[in-house]
Amino acid sequence: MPVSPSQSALDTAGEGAKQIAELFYVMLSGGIVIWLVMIGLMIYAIRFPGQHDAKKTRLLVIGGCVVFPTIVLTALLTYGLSILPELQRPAPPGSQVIDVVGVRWWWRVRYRLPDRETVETANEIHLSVNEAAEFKLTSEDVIHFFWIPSLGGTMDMIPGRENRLKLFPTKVGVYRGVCAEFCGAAHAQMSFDVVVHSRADFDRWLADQTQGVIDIPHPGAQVFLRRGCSACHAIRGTVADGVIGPDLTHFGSRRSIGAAVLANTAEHLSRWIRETHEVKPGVEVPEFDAIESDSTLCLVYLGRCGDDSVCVPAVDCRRLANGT
Amino acid sequence: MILFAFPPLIAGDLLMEHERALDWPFFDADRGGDPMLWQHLFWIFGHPEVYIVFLPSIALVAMIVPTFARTPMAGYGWIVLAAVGTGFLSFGLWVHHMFTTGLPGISIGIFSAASEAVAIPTGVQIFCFIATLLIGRVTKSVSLLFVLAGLATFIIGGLTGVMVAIAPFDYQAHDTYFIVGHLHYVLVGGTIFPIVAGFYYYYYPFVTGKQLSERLGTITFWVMRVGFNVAFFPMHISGLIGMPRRVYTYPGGMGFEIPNLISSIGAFVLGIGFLILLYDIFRPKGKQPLIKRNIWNAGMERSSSRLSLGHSQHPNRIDAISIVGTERLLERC
Repeated sequence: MPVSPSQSALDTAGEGAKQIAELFYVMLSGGIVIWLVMIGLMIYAIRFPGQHDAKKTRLLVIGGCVVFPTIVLTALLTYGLSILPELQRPAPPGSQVIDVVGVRWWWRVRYRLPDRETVETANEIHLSVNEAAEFKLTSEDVIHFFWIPSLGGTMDMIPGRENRLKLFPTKVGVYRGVCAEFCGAAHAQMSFDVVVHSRADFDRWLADQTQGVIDIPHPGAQVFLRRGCSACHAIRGTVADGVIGPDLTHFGSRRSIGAAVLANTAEHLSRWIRETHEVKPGVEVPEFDAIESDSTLCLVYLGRCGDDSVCVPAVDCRRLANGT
Repeated sequence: MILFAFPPLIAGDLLMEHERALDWPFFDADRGGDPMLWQHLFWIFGHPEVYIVFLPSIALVAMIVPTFARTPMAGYGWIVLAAVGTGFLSFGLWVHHMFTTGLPGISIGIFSAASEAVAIPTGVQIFCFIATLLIGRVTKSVSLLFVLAGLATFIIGGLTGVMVAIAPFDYQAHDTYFIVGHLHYVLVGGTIFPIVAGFYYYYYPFVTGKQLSERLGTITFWVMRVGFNVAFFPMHISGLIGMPRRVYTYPGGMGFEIPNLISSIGAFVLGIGFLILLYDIFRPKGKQPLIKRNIWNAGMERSSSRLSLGHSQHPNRIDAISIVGTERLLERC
């Protein structure tokens, strides 16, 4: 699998994740010591029976079960909860605001632009390194759970409510996010990619996303419309403007297909279109029982040639238009 | 506790049934309901429920430990107080299942602290058991082995419980395999192992008048103990490296394969342990002699052993009378 970026809460690439991992290691070492002492006491009690007077034992009970835990737990609470305000603090004004909506079983992602416009994409989140990003999270159907372990912190996506979450990535790279709340048949295959860029790369990416595609007459476009794909999917710049399924504008530039189920290659895309329900059982998109030529055209239109290089409109229209 | 914990669940069920049958949208956000209502009702029941299944097993432990330490329970009053305290606190913890629902920091802080507080009465119980072992002279038996393994397991579950009760850590552990590991260490250590101990110590001899095999029991003990830890310990790791709960598949190449394989092997070993226990329970014991009453010389068992069902095959014994008495009672009903 080419798509296997880190999804570990211990392999940290964000401020929140780092603080929480530190907290974990502190608690882990404390926990190991306490467990060893308790087990040691039990073994000692069994090996050397009847040599202990009740008075000393009473002191042990009072010390071990009242004094010690009260002190340790108070210290732990003070330390642990001191992280909380920082984790909950909203990102500073001017930070990138991203709306993420959980939908069975994919992610609708909207970037809020300074001019109050939004630009929609799906199943992929791009962030700028060393800058806080503010997420507004909700759901269209059932409760989902927005979790990017490497960046830290998580939040439920609850229908009818808007939760917020701040993330602060500190390392450029690709990470993986996942839905961690059981949400139905394809819950296990509801993931997304998170790409952390330098500021310049991020700006370039966002500028590309804001552009629609150039609607050149392409036989694949006709297949896309004739087959009714546009009833659910939008490709900005064309007449396809469905809102039920993921926005496919610049689909070719994405890393993965089907909510990070398959890497975005021509071979996988072809399989995804024809055997959707085999790849991701339960998914709501109808299987596309196209004749070979139709599906090839559709493939090409969506941005993948046979040699896996990006080639047509749905992809990187800007650069294509500029002749670069 | 059941009296107070179940009504919220029943109320939730009634609302759910109203939503399903009569289309009253209590939980449907599109029509003004709120799914959070269900979560609250469920967990106000769900958290005390953990203690509803745990406290009876602690009572079993509190019977078995003094019996095999050959001394009265140390800190008897403390344990009773701790049990009452745990029961009381357990009603004020439910929000720690909902730390990630977007609640304000102050509520999270309060419920975090309350969840840590429950470690104190639980610690009292464990330390009283250790104190009893210290004061007494321990005799070995399968029951005691299971109780001690249960405590060792439960302490791990308790320590990971202290971890996840700290809200910021829960942000990374919530709904992952770490929680699956935690809850099994608590419930298997705190409930299942003591119940198995109870089988050897009390239930089986009480019901049949015969004893389970200590040799098979020792084998069962090791198989179960190894199997359990092999199955559930790796889950803490797979959870932390990013494996969410309730998934039937996961992508390869993210390090989930090995911990999951180990867990599966452990699960089968644990299963074999239970099969040996079942074999021991159901194997024919026709030739095996009846045990003497109160086989373990327990301090508190004498009164109840008079009711032993197993001995009723001997009509001359005094317990036959109590059986007849019971039958009369049943007839009256």
